Amino acid sequence: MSSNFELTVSRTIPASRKEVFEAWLSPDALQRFMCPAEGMSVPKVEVDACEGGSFLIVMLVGDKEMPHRGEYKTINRYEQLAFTWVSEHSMPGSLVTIDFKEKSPSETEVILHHVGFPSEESRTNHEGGWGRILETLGSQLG
Amino acid sequence: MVDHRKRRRRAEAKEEQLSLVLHTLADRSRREIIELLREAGELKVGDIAEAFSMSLNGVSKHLKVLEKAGLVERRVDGREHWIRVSWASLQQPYEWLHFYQHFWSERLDSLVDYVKDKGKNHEQ
Repeated sequence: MSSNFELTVSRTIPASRKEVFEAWLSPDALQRFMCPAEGMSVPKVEVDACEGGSFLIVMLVGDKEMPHRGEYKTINRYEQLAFTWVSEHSMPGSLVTIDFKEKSPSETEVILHHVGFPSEESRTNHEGGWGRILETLGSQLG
Repeated sequence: MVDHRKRRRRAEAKEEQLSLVLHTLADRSRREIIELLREAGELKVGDIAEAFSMSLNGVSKHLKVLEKAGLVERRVDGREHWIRVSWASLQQPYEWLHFYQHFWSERLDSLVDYVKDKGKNHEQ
């Protein structure tokens, strides 16, 4: 069942590993490539590029702002980047891990893995913790 | 405008339901119960308890949580309680999966465009 909530997407990017890695931590680059579609924009990007630091990417669709937040868990230049990914009202425990593999000095393979439940969530896997979360969610639904 | 607000409320309710479903499935025992039911179709509460060497009480607790999230349905036949998976609610995690598969795939395409543009600007 757990594999149902994981996905992997990969792509070969025509740039050096360093360049591709840094693009993920650059507000300017993120503003460009995190824009989901034409007619949408990314008016705000904030990045605190250190492990434990957080980021905010605001996407704008019409007049609706969609903030995406997360915290950097791993910044291992230029091999691996991992951050939590939370968008409004979506599931609170998701983790994105990106591996950067050098195919040639000017070609980098990016392997992005998005998991629905990061391990620290699974570790709090006892009745009490989940009971409380479900109660909170239940009151929100009601 | 009213339509817009209605749509947004509907979308938010859907997201909250998805959170509930995913939180419920974050528990390994509950995932295993779903997996067992997926294979078996419909099972008695006692059969599920036996399959996991769990107490009836323990299984009942999990089943109540699964029911609350709409993940399983219960049919009462005399003294027997039969449980089966409610497939409609499991559709949402799959939608999440498809949404992000598409989302990240497009982002990586944009990243390719971004580095190509940047390369061009450097050459000039």
